[in-house]
Amino acid sequence: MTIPGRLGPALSVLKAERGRRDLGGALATLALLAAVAAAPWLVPVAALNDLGQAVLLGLFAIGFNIVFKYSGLLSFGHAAFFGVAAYAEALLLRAFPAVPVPLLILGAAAGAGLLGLLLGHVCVRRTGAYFSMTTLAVGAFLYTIAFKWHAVTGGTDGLDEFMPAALVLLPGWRLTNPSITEIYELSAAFLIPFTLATWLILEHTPFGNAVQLVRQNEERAAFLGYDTHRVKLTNYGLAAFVAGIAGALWAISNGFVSTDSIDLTLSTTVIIMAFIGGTAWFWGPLLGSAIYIFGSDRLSAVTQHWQLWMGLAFIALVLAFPRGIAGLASLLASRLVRPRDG
Amino acid sequence: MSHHLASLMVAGGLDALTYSSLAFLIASGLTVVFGMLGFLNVAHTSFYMLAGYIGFSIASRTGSFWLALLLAPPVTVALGLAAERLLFRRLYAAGHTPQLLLTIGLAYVIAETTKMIWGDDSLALAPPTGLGGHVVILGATLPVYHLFVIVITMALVGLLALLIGWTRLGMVVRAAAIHPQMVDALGFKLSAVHTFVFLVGLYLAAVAGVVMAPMLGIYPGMADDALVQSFIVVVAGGLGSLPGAFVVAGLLGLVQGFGSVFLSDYALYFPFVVLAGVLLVRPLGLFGRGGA
Repeated sequence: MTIPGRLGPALSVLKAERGRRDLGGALATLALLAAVAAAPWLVPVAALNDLGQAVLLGLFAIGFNIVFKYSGLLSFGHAAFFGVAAYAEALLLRAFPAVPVPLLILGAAAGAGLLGLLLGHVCVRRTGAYFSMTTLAVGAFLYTIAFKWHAVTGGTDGLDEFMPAALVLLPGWRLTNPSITEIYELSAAFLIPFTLATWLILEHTPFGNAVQLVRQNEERAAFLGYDTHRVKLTNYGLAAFVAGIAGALWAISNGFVSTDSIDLTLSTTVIIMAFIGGTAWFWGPLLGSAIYIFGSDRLSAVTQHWQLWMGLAFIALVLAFPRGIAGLASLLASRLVRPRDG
Repeated sequence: MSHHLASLMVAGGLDALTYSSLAFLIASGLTVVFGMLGFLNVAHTSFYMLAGYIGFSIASRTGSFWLALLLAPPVTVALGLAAERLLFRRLYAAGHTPQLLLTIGLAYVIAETTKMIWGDDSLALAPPTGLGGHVVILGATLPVYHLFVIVITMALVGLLALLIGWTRLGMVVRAAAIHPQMVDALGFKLSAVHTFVFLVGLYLAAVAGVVMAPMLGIYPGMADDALVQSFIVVVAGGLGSLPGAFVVAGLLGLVQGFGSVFLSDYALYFPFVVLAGVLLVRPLGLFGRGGA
């Protein structure tokens, strides 16, 4: 079912590839987002805290995967944007407790997005391992600032006590001492529309087509007249913005921001999460984050050294199922629907 | 006053050389393996850390730093060989992403294993007897141990240069770096050459891990710290370039050595200043040749 594309064969190949995966992917997406939205009614309050972390890190991992899936670049320093937005959100809440929180979140995330556009100028020019190494260095630089600039970031102590007694959602709508459930709902209320909008932008707009075309054949895209550097840069900024939303919400849901939210460990954790879930599916990283959070929770109940087992499991996953859990699921599903169909 | 300045310069110069030596020992293996095999080993500095811990155990059991320096690197290299045979080999042709992911997983495993065996706290190792004191040169009081670090690095780099430049084995390695297919066609086992290069790189990093211990101690975050520094050396030095790594390690040492004397508050930022400076002048790194 190839749709004849007006922009040439490159686009119609894209669309044909897209068409085959559409139905199963759409059903899985609906199920996943419905689960995120309905979670407060489905899981006990005790598990909601973990789930809140999983959802926010999942949003962050989706941000990471926007660069990997759509531009083919593996960022090794994406915690920079998550962390900068988390610090910004804490400082904004402290400075403007009366301003509606959604505005502050958007402000903090926009700051992260702008930072992405700025730093992307250096990083996005490189590809492959060089991109990864450069982003790691940039991430380490921002970590160093957070670590050293005690007056603003609190250094190793971090920032706390920035949450106002009443969180202003809209003028006239306040949450006094918000509960875990309410904080979770706030996170979900951002995650669902913003990820859907990002998905639409990347899959169904001319900009998204341009991003995918640049990944598949940069030379061809350049000949077609695209400014390929600007396309990749814009996508990087978008990924930084999405990571920023997650970081800002992270500050609110923890009431505390420290160098943990900007360090190398977080940058690697988000890579692991994204690849556990599967990077070929837009929502895979969200799935991966949930598996990681609940898996590590279970493991840490059994052994203090859960990271060892997590590392071993991840190595096994990389060798056996490089496309992650979502890749495995879609493979199984296609076997079920069309057995022995090459 | 000028006398004071002279002693500061000497102290800064020695710090610079010590820091450069360690940076080069750690990063050279990473950049050469990356250049020859296109393999980016995130766990490279995990082996450096592992060597430090193994050295600590040997030194505290036997009471001899020298035995630690002699034995810990080969033990580390043997573990590295196991990792190469069991894991890395499967992915030499698979592209950067699976390599990066696999070695991230391995770095996790090594980090957690060292915590399991040696705990979360920083461990201190005393310098060997005779090297614990200070000497005074031009009014500057200098730790003898730092001089030892510089000497041992120079000796190793010299040996390596002899090995690569003047032996038959070195000739095959050099040829394999430029024309791998031709070397293969001539009947040499390319995979053995690669393994050899990989192990030599690990050996240098492992020596750095042991030698570092009396200066900065051994601590769980040392692999990450060294990884950031080594990536800066590789990126700023240029695609797999050993001379590039040498120059950048020297630059890092210079700003670190003199910077910590004059601007110690900002010392942590210096490596990034070097990276940004180099990339502004040469976007592909000092000795970069394409490779985007």
